[in-house]
Amino acid sequence: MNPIILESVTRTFEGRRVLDGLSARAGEGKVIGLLGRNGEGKTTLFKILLDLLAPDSGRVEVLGARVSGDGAVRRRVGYVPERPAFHDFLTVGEALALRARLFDGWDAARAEALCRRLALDPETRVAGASKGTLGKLAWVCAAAHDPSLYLLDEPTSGLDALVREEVLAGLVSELGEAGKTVLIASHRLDELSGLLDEVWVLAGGKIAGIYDAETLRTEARRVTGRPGPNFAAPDGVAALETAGPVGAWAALDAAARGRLLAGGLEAAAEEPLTMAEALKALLAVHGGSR
Amino acid sequence: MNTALVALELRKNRLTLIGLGLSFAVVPPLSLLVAPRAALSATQAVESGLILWTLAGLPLCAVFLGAISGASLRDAAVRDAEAPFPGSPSSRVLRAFAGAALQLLMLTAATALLSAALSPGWRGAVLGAGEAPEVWAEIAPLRGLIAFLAFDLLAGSFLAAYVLGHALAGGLIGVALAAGEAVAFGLGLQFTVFYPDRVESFVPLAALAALAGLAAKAAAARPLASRFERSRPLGASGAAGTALLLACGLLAAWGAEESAYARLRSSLRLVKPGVASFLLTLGPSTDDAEAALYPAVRGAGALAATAGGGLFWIAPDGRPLRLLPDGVGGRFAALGPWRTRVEAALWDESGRLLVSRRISEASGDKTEFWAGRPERGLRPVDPALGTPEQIVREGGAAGIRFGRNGEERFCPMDDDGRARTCAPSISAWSSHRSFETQSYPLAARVSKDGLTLRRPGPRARAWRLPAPAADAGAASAPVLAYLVAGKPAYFVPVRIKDDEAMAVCFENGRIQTVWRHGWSGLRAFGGPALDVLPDGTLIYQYAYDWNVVDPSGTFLPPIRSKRLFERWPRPDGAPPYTPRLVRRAGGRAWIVFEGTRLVEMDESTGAPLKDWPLPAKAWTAGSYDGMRVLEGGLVIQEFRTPFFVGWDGAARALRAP
Repeated sequence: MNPIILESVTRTFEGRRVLDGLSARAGEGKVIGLLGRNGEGKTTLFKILLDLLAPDSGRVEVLGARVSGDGAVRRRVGYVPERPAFHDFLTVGEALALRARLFDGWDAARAEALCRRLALDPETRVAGASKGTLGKLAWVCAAAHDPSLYLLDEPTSGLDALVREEVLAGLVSELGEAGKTVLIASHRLDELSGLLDEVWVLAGGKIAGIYDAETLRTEARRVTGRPGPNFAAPDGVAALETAGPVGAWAALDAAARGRLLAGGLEAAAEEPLTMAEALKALLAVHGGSR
Repeated sequence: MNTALVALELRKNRLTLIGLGLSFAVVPPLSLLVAPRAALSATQAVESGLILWTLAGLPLCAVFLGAISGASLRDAAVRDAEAPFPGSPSSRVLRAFAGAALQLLMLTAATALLSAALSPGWRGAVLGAGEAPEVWAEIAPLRGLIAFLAFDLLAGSFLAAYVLGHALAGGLIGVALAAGEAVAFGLGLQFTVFYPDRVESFVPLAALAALAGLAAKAAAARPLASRFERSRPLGASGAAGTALLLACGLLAAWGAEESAYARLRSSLRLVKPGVASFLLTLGPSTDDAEAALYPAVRGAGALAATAGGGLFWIAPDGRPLRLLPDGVGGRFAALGPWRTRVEAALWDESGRLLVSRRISEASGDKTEFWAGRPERGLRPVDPALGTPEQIVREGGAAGIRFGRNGEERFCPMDDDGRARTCAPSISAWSSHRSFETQSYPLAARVSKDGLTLRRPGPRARAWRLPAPAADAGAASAPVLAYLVAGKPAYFVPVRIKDDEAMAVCFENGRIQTVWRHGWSGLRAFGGPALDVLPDGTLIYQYAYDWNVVDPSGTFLPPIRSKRLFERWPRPDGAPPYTPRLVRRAGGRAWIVFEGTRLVEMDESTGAPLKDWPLPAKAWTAGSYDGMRVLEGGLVIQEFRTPFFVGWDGAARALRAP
């Protein structure tokens, strides 16, 4: 079963088509990074998956059930929003107690353990709580009912470096190991490089590319050289520096590297790309498609 | 519905609830504070304060709660906080509304508990338990309407605030919607109040409209929730449909009102002619006196009017003929004494008709005066005569009193709306005696000792009664003159030992005692002693039998109804209904029996010969308002439409031709 199935999903806001026939399927147990520039529709996609937003057209299935507007999908999904919000008259403990009555599989012991791990005090009032505290609370709320699918929209936003590392390296890693399916959008995907199974590039209202994270880790190269007179960058290659007679290009996999060299580049040097560079290159490759 | 979320809603709006609760708490002390200024006792002041809070405060609370709850649903922070909750958009809206409704219920309960404990008057006025203070007694029948309006205010304000995302604007729109419905229901009730036997016909319609409005609002909540919770565009048709649903309550309320108004406009009501006497004397309507004395009046047919002021003549053979068209507009105007715009109608002794009616025109309401013979059509009275003021009788004659140059003149009218003659008016309305003298032609009076009947005026005469009048205490009422063999005669109930009888005082001074029966104790003046049929037959009913004087002046043996009751026994518990003799011809009599049947019987044996069901129950068959006997048949007032029933039993509804 594909925990996420998106087929020809479109959504328009005030005449602007943010999602334009988007299609994708997530494999079970995969940790997927969602990459896209600001405004490309990452949050829109999350909201559609959560049944918080109606698509104009297309089919959306989450965990085997069609998303139809009844909001039932949210019972089975763990969601961490970009800007976690809670009723400001509640304490952390009350916010968790409220969710315990809304989510069937709520595990109070798990919630308590997560609170301890994230140093979250149940007596803390939401009003006046730091962004980090709210972020941590959102994590507990998302995970305490042990869902099989996590939708994480900038889940480390507002977290300090230590906590961010705990969240990313700890929690997300554990989710991956536990066979949970995770779709995560983050400006710091590079920090997750070791955890990702796939990277979806959202551009032009579509999933413009789906990349195997392992391939990116092992095959992505920075190729420096002098382009021949008829040189043109092939598919899967992003130009990094092209100002002088000698330029640099990013090839995202071995095949792209081969096309680059075959296309008339006289290579002078090659070096592996970091994940951050690879992701940046991914954006560059798909940036012009809109 | 998840109770945790409803509890959350209560907590979200707790400050509003606390504020409104505190407002209620200050009502009693505030009432005490203003009591001296309003010249009220402390008890009255608190009572009034609490009733006012219930009538106006609670509906206002409904507006606050609905508007604040609806607007807060659109608040971005609240939406973000509740986004991860499972459940459909409409369930989120529904639970917010349920929270607001629960808060209103809590306020209502607090109001009821405290007010019932503090004020017996509040209990009487609002709960109907015990006596309501006089000034508030009228609200009791409106309890249901007020409760509905409070809930409607809550729902309307909630939805409007939710749509607009603004509490104040939503509250104002909610108030406007509910006010629109309240005005419609109020008007509809007003129309039906003029027809008290059919208020019940409006209340279910209003309730249906109210429920339709609430159901439509509930139905609108779904697409609206989808629109605002999931940003699902409504589309042009969806937006129009939703707007229609939101306006449905208003449309349904005005539909109910329009229906009531249409019923009112299309209805025909029998109009009782005569100079209204109910305020001035214990005596009968002058119409009875006129019918008793003038053949042209009792044979003149009947009159019916529409609420819009249209006037119809129902000829003696039952044909309806329009005399005056409806006025225009006038939905908001008060109606006249017969629940129509006809204020007064009077037949003169020769069968001319005088009418005044108040109608609405574009320039406002105005009173018109008309005169003439119905078969030739009515004419507006001659404006040169002055300003017509009132249709009156003076010296037994019918006419119109005009004011001109500070003078009051009385003018009997001709067939064309002109004056036959005019004389200074002698209408002196200061006493009922003078009213009677002027209004009841040839009326006489029994002396205080009950032994003498005296007729005042130019044809003064006195009769020494053979026995004391049966009820001398009612001697202030006039004794009407009836025509026997073409001459006036007076029928005075007298008591002879343990019996009662009728002393008939003839114009030549002779007195004849007739119709001696056992003492019933029911005889009294103050009403027509006898029924008069169009052919001049006089009928004196004793128990369920009839004593009859035929048009030639012959006193006939009584006609008995016993066999009718044997033929159609009255079921146990059925309301008593006095059978009424309505026609005699060829040794047969026609009887309205139990209000539901016209029976032709043999008047010598009392055996029923034929019978026909009546198209409507002649509930008030004994009174002109419910039934009128014409030469050719009966006119029976069904609720909105009179029916004509011929002597062959054929019935037809009388509608505007």
